[in-house]
Amino acid sequence: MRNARLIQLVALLCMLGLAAAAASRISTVNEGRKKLNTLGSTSPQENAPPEYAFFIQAFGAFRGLIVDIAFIRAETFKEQGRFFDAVQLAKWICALQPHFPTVWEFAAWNLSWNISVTTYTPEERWNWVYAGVKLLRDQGIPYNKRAVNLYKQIAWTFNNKMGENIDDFHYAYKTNWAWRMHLLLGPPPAPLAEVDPNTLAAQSSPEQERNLLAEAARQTFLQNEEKRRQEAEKRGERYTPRTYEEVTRTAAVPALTVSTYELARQASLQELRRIHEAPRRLAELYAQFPPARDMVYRLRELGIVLNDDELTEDEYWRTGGLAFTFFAPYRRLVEPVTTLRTVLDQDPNADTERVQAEKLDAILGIRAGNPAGQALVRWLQKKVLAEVYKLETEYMLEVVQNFGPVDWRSVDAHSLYWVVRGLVAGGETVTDFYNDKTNTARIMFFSLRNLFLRNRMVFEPYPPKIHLSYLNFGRDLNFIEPMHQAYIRYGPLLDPRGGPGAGNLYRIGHTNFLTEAIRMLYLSGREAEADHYYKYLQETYPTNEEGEPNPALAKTLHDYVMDSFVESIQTAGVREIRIALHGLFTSAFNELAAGDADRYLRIVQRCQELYEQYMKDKRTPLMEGKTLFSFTEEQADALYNWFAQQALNPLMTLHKIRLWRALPLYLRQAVYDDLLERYFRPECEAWEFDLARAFPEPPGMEEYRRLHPSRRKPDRPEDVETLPMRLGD
Amino acid sequence: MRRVWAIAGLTLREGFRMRIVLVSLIVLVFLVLRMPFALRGDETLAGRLQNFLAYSLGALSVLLSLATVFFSCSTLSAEFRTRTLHLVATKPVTRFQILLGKWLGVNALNVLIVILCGAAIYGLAYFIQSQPEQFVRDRYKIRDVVWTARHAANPVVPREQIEQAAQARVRDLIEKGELDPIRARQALDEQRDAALKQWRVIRPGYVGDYLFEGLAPPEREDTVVQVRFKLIGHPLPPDETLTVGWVFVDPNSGAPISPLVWTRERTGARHQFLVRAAPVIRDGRARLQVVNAPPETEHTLIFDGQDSLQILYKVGSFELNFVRALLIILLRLALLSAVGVFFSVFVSFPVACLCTGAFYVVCLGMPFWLEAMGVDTDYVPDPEERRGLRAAWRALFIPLVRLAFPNFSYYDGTDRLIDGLNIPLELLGRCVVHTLLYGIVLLFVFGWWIFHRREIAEVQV
Repeated sequence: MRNARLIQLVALLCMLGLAAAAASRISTVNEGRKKLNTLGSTSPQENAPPEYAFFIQAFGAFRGLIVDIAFIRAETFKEQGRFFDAVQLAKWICALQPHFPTVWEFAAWNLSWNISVTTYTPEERWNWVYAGVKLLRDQGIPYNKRAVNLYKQIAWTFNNKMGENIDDFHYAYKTNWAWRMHLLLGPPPAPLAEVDPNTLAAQSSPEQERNLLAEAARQTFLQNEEKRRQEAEKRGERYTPRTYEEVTRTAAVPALTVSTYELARQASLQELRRIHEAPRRLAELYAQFPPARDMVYRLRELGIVLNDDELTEDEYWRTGGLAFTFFAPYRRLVEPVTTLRTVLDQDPNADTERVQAEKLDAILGIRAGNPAGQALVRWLQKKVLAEVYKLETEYMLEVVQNFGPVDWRSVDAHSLYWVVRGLVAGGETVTDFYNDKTNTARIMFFSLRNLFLRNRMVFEPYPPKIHLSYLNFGRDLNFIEPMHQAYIRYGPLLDPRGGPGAGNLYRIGHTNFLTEAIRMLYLSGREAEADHYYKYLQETYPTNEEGEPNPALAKTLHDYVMDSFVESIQTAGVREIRIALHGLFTSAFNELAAGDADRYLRIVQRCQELYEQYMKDKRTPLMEGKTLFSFTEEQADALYNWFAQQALNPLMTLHKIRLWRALPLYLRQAVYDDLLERYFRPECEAWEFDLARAFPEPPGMEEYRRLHPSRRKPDRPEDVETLPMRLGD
Repeated sequence: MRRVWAIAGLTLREGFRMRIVLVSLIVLVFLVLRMPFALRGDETLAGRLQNFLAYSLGALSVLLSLATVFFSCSTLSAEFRTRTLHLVATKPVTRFQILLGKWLGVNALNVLIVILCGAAIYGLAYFIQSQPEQFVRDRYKIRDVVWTARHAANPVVPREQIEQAAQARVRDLIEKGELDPIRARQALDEQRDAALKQWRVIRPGYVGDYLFEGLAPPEREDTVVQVRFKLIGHPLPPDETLTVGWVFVDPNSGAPISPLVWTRERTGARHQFLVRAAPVIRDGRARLQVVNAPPETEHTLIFDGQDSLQILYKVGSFELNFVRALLIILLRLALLSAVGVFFSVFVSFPVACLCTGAFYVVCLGMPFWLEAMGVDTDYVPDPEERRGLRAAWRALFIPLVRLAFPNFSYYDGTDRLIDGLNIPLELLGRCVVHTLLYGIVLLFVFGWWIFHRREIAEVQV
């Protein structure tokens, strides 16, 4: 009996001792957690909703074990294709560990990448991909405000899943997102529409107060230097430290301060600032614009409920929500009717929407420019941005300030936005999380690249089926400079081998980018900017990879650009010249279809120069076999080929309609008869477009037919054209 | 039989008074009623329905099993402890009738609870599936994938062709002198296996042709069937995804009758897609061609396993399937109650609970235990295995384990129900034999023998 008591006493003392020893290590464990950023906040119950707080309290230390089991089961269910189970388990995992950022990141990635690809319709795909974004944006990040990986995951979803072309339904993602932003913010302002020349000079400055790109680059540089030092230590070599300023000094290029880019950026900033400075609450709005009170009451009578209550995305988008009752008619008021609406045989919603828009205008006075009405719109825009999409105008301004005039309808603008938020959040953590900062900086680089490729958007929504909206992208020359700066700041820091300009690793990419940029700028008539980058190319990359002088850079700018279309105009045959001309014409037609008449004219001008240069010594009887048709005829042939592209969906026909409406009369007359029965009529019948409104007959066709017999022969199988009859053949 | 029913009735009333049963019932009712609104699954209607069925039937099975374990162990052992059995034993009631009455009483309670909960689960499931769906495809999935009973058809193995090819190969080898005629039979088996494996392999740039027979004609014009597949790419693609083309062709002429559809799916995981049945099923046959992406790919496609390519088509109704799933739950409970009463015959309540609980856990985790022992669930002793004590032990022990502990993962209708798979009568029959009959033998043969010889007044541990 006494032995038993003694054993019990000893056991009790051991237990107390071990418990004390374990408790003494808890502070070290917590420090490690903070370093690994596994703690989204200092307190597990901080800001936790009641049901989460229940689970945290109820399961206590067993939460980790339950989460492990749930994770294994979720993975197993995913392998088996039981996604309903996997998603439910993922939700429970997040409920059990709401302040563990990795569970949110995993769940969101699962939704956007793995589960979305099990569906095969555009609506479902978008639903899953966006569900991943919403999970992080609306739940994960609010509970883990300092978790940089969550911001990075959202940015990556926008940039990679939606922004790249790998996914079969990437177009649906882009159109769905563009629709959301288009409804709320509309297209970006024209560069000259909003700019105030007095503020332009004062605000445009190459040195920004806070340059996030440079900050990210500096962090990456410090990390790379640490790696170099450790590697040198391992090899027993001497380590020569470098400073950030030393490395970047040779690569620094003064940014262009006076350019179309700057004008566009200022215009974008102006518009955003108006929204940013809008009041947060209705009481403030009423104080600043007293007529707004009456407007709000009248809108409520129409069923448009405006108040200061928190607005969720479901409420915003439900039938009768503000998206449909306010912003849709508002867009109808301020924007031209879309091409699709003008050519559809029947648009059942046209009358209803028109009536709604008129009622809205009667209250807000939008067309009349009523200041109170405009202020009300901006108040609501700010509210929806903040509460529905969790977009803070402060950070949106940062994005435009630092990177350029982004089109907020583009997914890449939002990957940039969330990257910025992530960097700011990362700067506020107790310890730095270098790995994620490096990756987020890389996402910035890809986002800028995509903005260069696609920021110039033409978007015409088709609300009944958003994935069938017209969305056309073009290179945005305003992002040449930010992209160029990103190459020269970021490239050398990632490549330890160094090298001029962007460093050896990014040299080829930078060179190709600059080549394209120079060509685009030159063809757009921005020769001064083209020359600036051409000089940079000559000075920084004068040799090829083998170290030999690059002969292409010894040419004049004009020759450098034009020789990229045809190797040598003097020795080229008629076929090569025709191919080059038709290629340029195609680019010109694409620009015209996108609405840029100025760029169209400049490219046509270059075509004229090329044509004249070739033909100058060909107008002799001896050269008959080497002459081109007349310039107009060559242009008409290229136009015919452009229209002859097979329209696999109504969007391609819409693209053609846009070009048709913008073409000069002589060109329309030249191709109308050849295209009408073969392409225009069948396509309009296929998509139920009104032929007369889509491709109206050009005026004066009778006279034209009398004076210009058709050059085009009917197609016969034995006719083998040297040029492809259809683009893409 | 009147005495048996009397004992059963008393046992039933005792069950209603038992706290553990009441608590289990309350928790069960709460879970079943809360689940349709708490479980969102993947937010699709089909996902919500499947999630609800999975967790509600799972909760019913687990909670009722726990309640059955405690109840069945306590009903007899309590009477031993309180000496109530002394009064019963002196009555003209045989030991067999006591056991039977106890067992029937426990099962009567189970039947009652299963019927009530089953009705509630069905009603709530019906409510969920009648909600408006967000996507059109969701409605098809509910109607033709979940709220139905389907059979999974595997492609018909071209045995004749395989046999001919194998024989031709063996002949060729013998003629060339590369094979000893004595080993012809063994070589033929090997060639047959190799040809069968090759049939499941599609090399880059090639098309696999698979015929399905015995498919039921679709009920409606817009009925859909599900094609389920599991492919492995070799070598493994860097991004672990495989691009595969699918096209249905006429079973007779081979002319395409559906457009070629390309899928990009992860290798090694199970995937499925829906296809309208009316155009592709002709006279109960469907022919599916699987295209291994354009020649620039270097990955060979391999259908991994016998069930790696299936077409699932409707053969019955959801309601009948649901009843079968509940029946399987009842059969498992009948076995547990028999085991519980069996142990309570000769051990005390805590020990009986421990033993019955352990039995339940082992049955639930049979795949795990078998894997731990180095066999899979379909273990068949290999006659060629080295003879010895260890081999003999494995050949004897493992079948005995599998007989003594029914695999509850195999005898489970819930997974099949939520996948919309028909619960075949064959499975039900096996379940009856391996649970109900096994339990009856255990209780009324061995249990009765022990109970018959036990001195009731003797103290048991």
